[in-house]
Amino acid sequence: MNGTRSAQQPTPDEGSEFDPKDAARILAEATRQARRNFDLKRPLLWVFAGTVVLLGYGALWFSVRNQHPYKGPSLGTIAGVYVAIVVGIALSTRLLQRATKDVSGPTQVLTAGEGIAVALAYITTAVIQGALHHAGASHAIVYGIFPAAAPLVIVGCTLAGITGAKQDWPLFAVALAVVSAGTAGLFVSAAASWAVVGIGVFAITVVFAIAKAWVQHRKLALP
Amino acid sequence: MTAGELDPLIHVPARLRIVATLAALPPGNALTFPRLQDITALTPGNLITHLRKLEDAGYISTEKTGNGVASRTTVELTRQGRAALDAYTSALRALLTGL
Repeated sequence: MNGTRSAQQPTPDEGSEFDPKDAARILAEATRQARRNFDLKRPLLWVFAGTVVLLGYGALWFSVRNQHPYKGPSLGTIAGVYVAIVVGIALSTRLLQRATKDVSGPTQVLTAGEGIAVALAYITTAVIQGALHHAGASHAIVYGIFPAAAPLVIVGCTLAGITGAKQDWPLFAVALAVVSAGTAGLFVSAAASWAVVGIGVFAITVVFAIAKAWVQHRKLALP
Repeated sequence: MTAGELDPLIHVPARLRIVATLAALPPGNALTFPRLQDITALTPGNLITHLRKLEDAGYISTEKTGNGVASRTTVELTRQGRAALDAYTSALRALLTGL
């Protein structure tokens, strides 16, 4: 680095009285600002993601709740959910790009690898759904229980593997909770499966967001 | 505990901002000089001076790649730097509790 000042010389703000209370304020402000810049797991984002899932799954449940026999969600509802998924992915990609701009290191490589693993896991559920349809499984399975609950189990297990390998235990717990919500959705009726999974994922994201906000506040809570 | 016992390398407004910003990145990740300057709102000269002091203490490491206009300097908080910030935060907390 080509500096204009020697490292031995005091800087302009050095030597002056720096009140510990001001230090605590600056530390808290700088940490908050940095998190806003780099952290993709902000509590409000989790609540937002959970709300999108709740609304999407809620719409799917609403479109099938009175079906006897079960046929599956309407095409309009499925299209709406897919639009929400595409918007969600676009928003996540934008946030990821913003958070990782000018940042280099092992996390960048891991994030790309994790994205591929999760996408493959999700594609796997679609392939299995096609196989179930091909094998003549009922509409309640092919268009109800399986698409509602299985992605959570399969993608959740993938995320558990990723987060466990990284020893990211809070997210590992979230992944296991997602697997549990998916598992619960496998053992109810086709229509109820959408509701169970939607409410389950929403509850998980809200609990995680509250826990994360509390931990962040506690870490920064200087008297 | 007194304010004089706080790590003097971190207990300076600009350096506290720099270290807190770099600590928000996952360990092993580095930030480019312009982005760090943008976030900390320091002038380039001021930022370089503070970074040099932190680097001399082993709290950060810098890496320069490329030449001329394509050159790029990245800054990373070392393990020692992270430990120093943790110790500073604990000391600050103890100091403020005792006030």
